[in-house]
Amino acid sequence: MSHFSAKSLTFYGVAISSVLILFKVVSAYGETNLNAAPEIGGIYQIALSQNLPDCLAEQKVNLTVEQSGIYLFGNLAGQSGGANEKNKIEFPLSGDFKNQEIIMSGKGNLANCDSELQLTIQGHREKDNLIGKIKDNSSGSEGTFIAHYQEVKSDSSEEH
Amino acid sequence: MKTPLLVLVEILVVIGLSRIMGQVCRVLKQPLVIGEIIAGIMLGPSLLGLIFPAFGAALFPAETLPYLDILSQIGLIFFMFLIGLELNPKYLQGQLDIAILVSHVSILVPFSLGSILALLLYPLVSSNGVSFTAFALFLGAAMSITAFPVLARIITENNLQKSKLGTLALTCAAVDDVTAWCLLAVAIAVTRTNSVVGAIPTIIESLIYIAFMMVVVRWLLEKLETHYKQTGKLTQLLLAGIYMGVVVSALITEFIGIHLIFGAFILGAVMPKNEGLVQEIAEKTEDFILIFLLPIFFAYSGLRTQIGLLNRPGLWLLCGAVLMVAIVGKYVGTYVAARVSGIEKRDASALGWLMNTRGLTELIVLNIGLNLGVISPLLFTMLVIMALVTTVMTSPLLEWTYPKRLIKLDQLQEEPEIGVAPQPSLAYKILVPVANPNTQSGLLQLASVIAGEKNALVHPLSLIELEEDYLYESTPDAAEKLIANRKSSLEDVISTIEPATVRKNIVCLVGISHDVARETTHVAETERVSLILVGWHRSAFIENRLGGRVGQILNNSPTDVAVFIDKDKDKGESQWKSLLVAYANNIHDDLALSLALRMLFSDRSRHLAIIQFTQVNAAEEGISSELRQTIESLPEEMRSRIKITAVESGDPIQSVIEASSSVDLTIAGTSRTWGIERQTLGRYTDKLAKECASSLVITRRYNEVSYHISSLLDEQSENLSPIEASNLPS
Repeated sequence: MSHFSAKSLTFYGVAISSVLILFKVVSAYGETNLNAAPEIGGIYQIALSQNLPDCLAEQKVNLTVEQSGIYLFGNLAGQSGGANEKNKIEFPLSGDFKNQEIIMSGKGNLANCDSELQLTIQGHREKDNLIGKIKDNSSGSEGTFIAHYQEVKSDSSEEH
Repeated sequence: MKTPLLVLVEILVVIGLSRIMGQVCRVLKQPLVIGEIIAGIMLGPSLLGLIFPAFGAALFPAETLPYLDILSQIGLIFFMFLIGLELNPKYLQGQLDIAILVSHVSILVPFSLGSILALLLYPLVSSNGVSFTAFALFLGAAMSITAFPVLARIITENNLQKSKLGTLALTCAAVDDVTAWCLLAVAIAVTRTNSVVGAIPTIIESLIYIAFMMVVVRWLLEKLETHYKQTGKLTQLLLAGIYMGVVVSALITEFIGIHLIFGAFILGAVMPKNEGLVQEIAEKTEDFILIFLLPIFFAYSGLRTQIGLLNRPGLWLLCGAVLMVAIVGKYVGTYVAARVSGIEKRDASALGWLMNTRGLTELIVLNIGLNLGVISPLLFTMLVIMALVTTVMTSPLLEWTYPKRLIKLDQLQEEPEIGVAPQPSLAYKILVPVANPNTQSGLLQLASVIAGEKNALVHPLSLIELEEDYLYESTPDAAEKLIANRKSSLEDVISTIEPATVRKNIVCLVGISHDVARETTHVAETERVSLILVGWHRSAFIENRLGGRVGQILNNSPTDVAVFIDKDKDKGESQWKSLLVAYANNIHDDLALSLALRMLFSDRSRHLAIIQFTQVNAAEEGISSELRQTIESLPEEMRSRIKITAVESGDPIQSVIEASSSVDLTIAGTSRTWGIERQTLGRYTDKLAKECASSLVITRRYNEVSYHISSLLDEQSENLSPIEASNLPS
């Protein structure tokens, strides 16, 4: 097949047009019918809480949420010794973002807590705040919290 | 520790680990780039951060990442310049019609499948800040990538650069590379403006800039080429100008709204492909970029790759889907287009696997996508895994579909290269690995003396080992020049071999290899050689004469091996008039004796002394019956030139050392008797090799099946007294 023959040019024309049409159809469908999760990733500082486990209530706790679509990863970072980074202990969490609500869970240790915790965090975003409840499955205790949005933690280093 | 100092420590760790993993991958027959990517991932949260989180966080704290980012960006810009520089239009000469068809279809199919896959992935792994169109474009572009530099390296390493398959694959990858970068530029423009319509001005500006580069800048660069031809050298001032041009071009494309790397790539691509100019720019630039800056890019990518994010089976299924679409899209697209173009099934299949090589190019695209926020960390990790798997699988699948024995049937050239030497039904072939032709004329001379003039062939084997994946010398075009130069050096050496009549029996084998010892044994197998004759060089690191590469060949070759330790260089063929064989009646000494007898056949003025070591109760003449029978089967004229001395006890090694002072060449088998034995881990001791007064040949026989002088005896049977065939193993 000669590259510049009418036959091959027709082939390229048809092939490229087909792909462009396919892409147009797919993107039109995607833009109108598919919804990706709203951006919720960032660092939230738990400000107000009620009935949280004592060891959580006694320290400054940050909730970091790293978002990849509906999949959430993050941690609770407690600081027992003020703002000293060295005293920071991270509690890993993972979960989903569904129906405008986050559900993240994990188990581990936090500063000031004597035993291993098994936490489930459930909440939704209202303006810049995350409002929800924290349940410790190991002890059965459950509390509510309000966390203030601190900053967007993202790998994006370029504007778009 | 202060941040800049910590960055330097990080760089030390990154370069060190990259080199180690690169070497591991070389052993596993994988491209160096795989080792570098894995090293980067190991330093990130996927391994170091998982096992030693505190140490990982202390070694790579967040405040050092911007420094690594800047260094990796600089590395990338100049790497892309090198890629453009090495993109020679010569590669577009091989079956261009087919290549354009294959490369376009091999982009269109995975791009289409990637767009459809976006329908599944977008609601799951993207966020509403990213438009679906940008997401689908990026995913399609990521699926369509073929890494030209890695593919070129794989082709060179497999000595495919002159085969039909190799030239076609290179042309396809070159077309693919340019097309994929254009596609990526469009994807970036759409992402930044968040719509196709919004991206149109950026695309038009890009086209204008490309035209400007191809006309105006090209014209200026041709002036530079003329200047270079006149002066014959690239001054620092000129090089500074070129580097500034790279940065300026990168900045312009960034301001246009595509990306820094495109400007650098375009400048490299429009650079006149004057051989000397390109080589000089590449060689002056590449070492620092490839050794120092590129591993930082891999580490920076690795720090952002979090395999731990794939923490549930559903996500691994998604990752599998990504991998499947990437592999199937590329393979099927390439295979079908190649078949439609009339390519044979096997070649079409091999082409499909080759085009699946994504390597570093994919990593560049993914990092841009992550920086722009168009792909999420989770999708980034999936795509990094896809890039790794598709690159790792290329070499084994290529070997599977296209074994090396078939490669030699597919060479386009007539000249003998590896695996294409004439294959007459010869009785005796000697393979002579030659690292540096200029220092090993003695070795070739010895080989031709052992081979004799009739019924034998000597293959000097010169393998060129390439260190880096992306070095200029690794490009197929440059590798071909290296091969031609090496062959020319070898032919110069061959022209000095005496007598001149043996030269016709010497056929060079020259090629590229990443593992010289392994390739030598492979060639020995495919060429069915009778003997590998290897020279010993003084090594800066290995004291043992039978260690290093010589030891690897001794241990692994499926044929007889002789190691030549030349202590009396520059004497030529006339130097081996008196021979000594140390004989202790084992198979390795049998080989030693057979080589000595072959040398007796080739020169009637040559004499042989045999020192036979026997424990007790030696035969009445002091030699074993087998040896006696062998000697008796020789013509009278030859027997008169052989003298046998028996040594019953004492220190046999010392006896040989003393006797060696009065001969030109000593030949001994690997045995405990002569202090040359194989010990733990396959290491040989080398007592005799150290203390022998004459030049020395150490022999190691592979098995007892063949006996080397039989062919010579047969050959001379018309003129010489016949032999008892039963006396000699067949």
